[in-house]
Amino acid sequence: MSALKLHGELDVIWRPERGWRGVLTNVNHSDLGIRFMVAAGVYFAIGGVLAMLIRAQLATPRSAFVGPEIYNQLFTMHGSLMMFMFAIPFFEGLAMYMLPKLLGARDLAFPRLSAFGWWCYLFGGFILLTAMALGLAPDGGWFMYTPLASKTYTPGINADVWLLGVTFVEVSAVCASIEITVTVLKLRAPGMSLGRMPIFAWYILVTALMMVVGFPPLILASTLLEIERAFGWPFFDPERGGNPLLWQHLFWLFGHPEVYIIFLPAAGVVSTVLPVMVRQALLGYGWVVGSILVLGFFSFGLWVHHMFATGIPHLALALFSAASALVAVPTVVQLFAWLATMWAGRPQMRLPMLYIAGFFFNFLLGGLTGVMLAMVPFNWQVHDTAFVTAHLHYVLIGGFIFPMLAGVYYWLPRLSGRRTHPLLGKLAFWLIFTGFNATFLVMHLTGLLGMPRRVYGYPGGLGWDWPNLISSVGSFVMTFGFATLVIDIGLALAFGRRSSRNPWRASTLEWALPMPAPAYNLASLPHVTSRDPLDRRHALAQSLARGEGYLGRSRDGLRETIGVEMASGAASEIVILPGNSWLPVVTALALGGFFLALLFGVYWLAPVALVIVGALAWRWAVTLGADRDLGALPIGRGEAVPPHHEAKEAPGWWGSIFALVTDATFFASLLFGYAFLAAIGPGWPPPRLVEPSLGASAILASAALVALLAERAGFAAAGRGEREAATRAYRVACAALLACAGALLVFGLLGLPSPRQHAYGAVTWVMLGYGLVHGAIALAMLAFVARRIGTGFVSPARMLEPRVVRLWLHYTLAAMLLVLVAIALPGAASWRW
Amino acid sequence: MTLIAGGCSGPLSALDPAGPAAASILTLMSVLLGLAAVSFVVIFGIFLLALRRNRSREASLRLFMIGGGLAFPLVLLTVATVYAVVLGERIVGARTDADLTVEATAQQWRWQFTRQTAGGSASRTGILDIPAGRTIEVRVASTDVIHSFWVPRLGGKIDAIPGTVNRILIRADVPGRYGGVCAEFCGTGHTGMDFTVVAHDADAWARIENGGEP
Amino acid sequence: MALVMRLMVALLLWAAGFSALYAVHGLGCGLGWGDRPALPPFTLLNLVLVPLWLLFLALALLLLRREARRRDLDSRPAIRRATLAAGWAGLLGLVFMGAPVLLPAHCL
Repeated sequence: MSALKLHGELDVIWRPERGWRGVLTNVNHSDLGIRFMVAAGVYFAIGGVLAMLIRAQLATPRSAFVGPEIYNQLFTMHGSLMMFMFAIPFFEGLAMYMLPKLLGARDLAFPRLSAFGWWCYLFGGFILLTAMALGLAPDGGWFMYTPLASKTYTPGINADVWLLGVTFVEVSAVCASIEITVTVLKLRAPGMSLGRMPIFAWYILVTALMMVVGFPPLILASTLLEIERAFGWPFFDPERGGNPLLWQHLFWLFGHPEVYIIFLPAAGVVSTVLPVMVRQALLGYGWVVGSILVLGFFSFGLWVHHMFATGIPHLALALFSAASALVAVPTVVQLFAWLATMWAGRPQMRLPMLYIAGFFFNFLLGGLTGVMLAMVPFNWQVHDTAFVTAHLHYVLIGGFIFPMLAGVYYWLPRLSGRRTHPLLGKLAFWLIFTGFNATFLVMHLTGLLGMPRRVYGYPGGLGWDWPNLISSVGSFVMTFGFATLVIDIGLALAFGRRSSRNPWRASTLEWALPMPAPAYNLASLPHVTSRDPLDRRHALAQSLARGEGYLGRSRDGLRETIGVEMASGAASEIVILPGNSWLPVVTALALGGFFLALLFGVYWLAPVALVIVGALAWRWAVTLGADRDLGALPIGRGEAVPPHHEAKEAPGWWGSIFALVTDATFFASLLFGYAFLAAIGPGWPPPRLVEPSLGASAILASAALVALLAERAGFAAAGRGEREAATRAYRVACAALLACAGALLVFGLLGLPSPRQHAYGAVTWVMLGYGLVHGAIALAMLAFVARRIGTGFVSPARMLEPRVVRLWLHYTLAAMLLVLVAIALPGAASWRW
Repeated sequence: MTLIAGGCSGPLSALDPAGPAAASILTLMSVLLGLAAVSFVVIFGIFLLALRRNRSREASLRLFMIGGGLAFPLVLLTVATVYAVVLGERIVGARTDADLTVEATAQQWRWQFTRQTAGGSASRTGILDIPAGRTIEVRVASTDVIHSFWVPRLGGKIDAIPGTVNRILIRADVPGRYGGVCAEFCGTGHTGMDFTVVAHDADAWARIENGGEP
Repeated sequence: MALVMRLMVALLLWAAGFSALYAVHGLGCGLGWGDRPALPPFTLLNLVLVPLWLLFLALALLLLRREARRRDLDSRPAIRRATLAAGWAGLLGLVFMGAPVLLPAHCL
């Protein structure tokens, strides 16, 4: 088959629809990745304008530019937009765009989920921006400490906007994390073992795994605070058994890993771009992989260093101080891997390298002040001062913006097919670099001179006048730099000269694609035998374009890519991806309805919206799967593998595993909160404890057992092809699960105290709700499988759906039992003694 | 030198300590800054050197990774952490007996300081009277949202959290007035929520103890 | 996945150890162990925390020794190095971050 004909066929299969329909139904990772990056850039500009207003206010003492009400909204929105609407979505977009191309795949593992995440991000952002335009923006600081953010002290809608808007955006982050994890683990070119993955994929994998367990604590905290604000359940109210510090623990349990979630993708860009700029493959690949894994873990042991002044015992502070110091080591390991690579290579000072130099300078300073801040006594002095503001901007601008700009310039030819003019880019760099340092270097001193964060003005005579003026002037220089950058890129897009296929002579697969990238990425997929698959003469690229690799054909108009065995990278299945769809945008709209209903207090509408989301999710699942067995199909190069419905470890299976990990982290955070309140109080033990109920326990345990056994029988029958027996058994399992949920509900209604009087009642009701919601989900899943067996979508070879549902059922039953035990534990303990 | 010293002093400057806690933290800061400067020069120096090379040479990965990546930061971090933890223990002062206890109650947006006296209690808003040269335990609480008690020239800060009482030891070496602020953002009045610590000499303090006007 | 788990097991052990130390510290302070002197200036809390720390150190050491003796990853040097590095990091992390339990524990 000729390359042109193959291109024509694949293009028909993969391309988005035309016109407005295409905008709404597109699920292509390249288009969505670019949308994410562009939207994030817009939010960066908005956040930047807010920063300008802040600096204008602080330029001189006793400024009357804005009052405290507006100023509080300015800095809250600046922080929230930069963190949640810019940094995370930007690297998500980059990862979405780049990963399949780097890994030699045709799309991400769950294309509709990418689109769903995009719409959640867009709609959540609308909520925040609309509130800001109306002057109702959040004003409690970007970490929203309780009780300031509780109903008593923030009676308006401002805090709800933050809690609901940001949570809506986090749905998008959680979707992206699961999708990225599965994509890196499963959707690679055959032969690409873990050790042959491009280093960027390792960074993104670790980042995504951190997001899988990092976001649930914040989602839980937001959920609890919103429930407290809406219904008066006292989780954070010390008068009624709550504790304001619980918010801080949950927030920073997310918030500190978050810093590394933002830093790691940027470091991944450095590890990708720097070796190309110095013409030497990255040295110490294993060291770097090890160090990012270690960073991923250690970064979860630092959160208390944001709370050194809260009165936690010094021994505990020392544990976290040591952890915060030690986390520098894996970072320094990476720095030295880069230095060793430079040492062995022949560096060229091209524009991306210039930004990497800026990264080295600024990030190093930010890291060093970070170690200083990790030292408890010093932290007591400068915590909550301008010193911390300076430090965090060195880390985030030095450690994220500079590398990402290196990445933007490096990949601009890949993204747009155009090259920039070197002069304007250099000018932009120097403006940003000097402006940035003028703004923030002196700010360390401002903090040491005693200026706290988040003050909207200051009297003269404290020595703060001139450093603040320098900062304000510097920040405007930095703004000119960013404006120059935008002009530079705009000019390049409009008039830039065309780029060759591999302008930097890099060796990773994204440069094997034609310019611009087609919707299907590669006409056929490569067999990878080394970490640097690309050759100088484009022989591989041309051979792939001729269809000589894997899947160099079209089959039944299906979107196909290859799934591999995780560690070895051997081809294990053909993954059939869904095409353009209305479901993502419609589901995101329904979910938006849920959040808006909560925001405006129309509480009856919220469950209605959730039911619609559930119905759409059903529809979502129905459109997948296959109703006949195909067996192993040829994929080219003499190999044959089955479609993913017939494979054991398909992407959907792993997606479920990681979704459950997220879910379990949410539950674990809830249990942590419960234990924290019970241990620290104040106001514990509560006036009345729940008596453990033997009856409820017995009913729940036996119904769970029946559900377990019935599902086993149904699964086995389906595996033998006995459809009727299987359907019957699944129906029995449904009934048993319903009994479980019923027992839990009756136990709650009869035994639990009111959720409004004491945090104990509030937490136990939330746990009960968690169990019930999961019961409902598992019930729907069992019913779904029963139906799929009836309609012939399950066969002895195609057991993927029953296996996924088994996973959820087991988790649900375990969670329900754990809920019951956890609720009854304090009562049982006091009952015995 | 005087210019630098002049630029660093100020009523709220942590660089101009007037008590043992703030002074020892300033020493810690100087040591940390020294270590940071060494690290910066070493790492950025290697970066610049590597950048200027224009021909390929053998790089010993082992030396870079084990020497530079592990040993170098581990030594510096161990020094810094041990020093800071020991100092922290001393500042917390578990085995130090305070000469006087004062209650600081934060409320949007003012500080109230109360001390037990022979005839009941004495209370002032916005002004904390203490004797100079003595160790004071301040018991910090809040009646509404979280605030933070900070007198930069005397020492670090401690949060005022509703539902709990936190403690901090302060000591002013010489009589004088020391500025204090609320460091934790606490709403629209956060900016103006400052206070003054007035350290009295022995005579003045004796007068206050006997019920005289401060 | 088995390989990915093997990469992470030492770090999971670190996470378990660090959480356990922090949790037991919180619990002990809640139960007043920090005020009960034992071998002054140490307290009952130290007597609980130090053995717990040593237990996790021993586990990390065992794990590292086992991984160092296995040869099945020799054909994948990068993955083997990363696994060993993670093992060392888990151990080092426990040593460094747990060492403060040697301070007199008094919950202030």
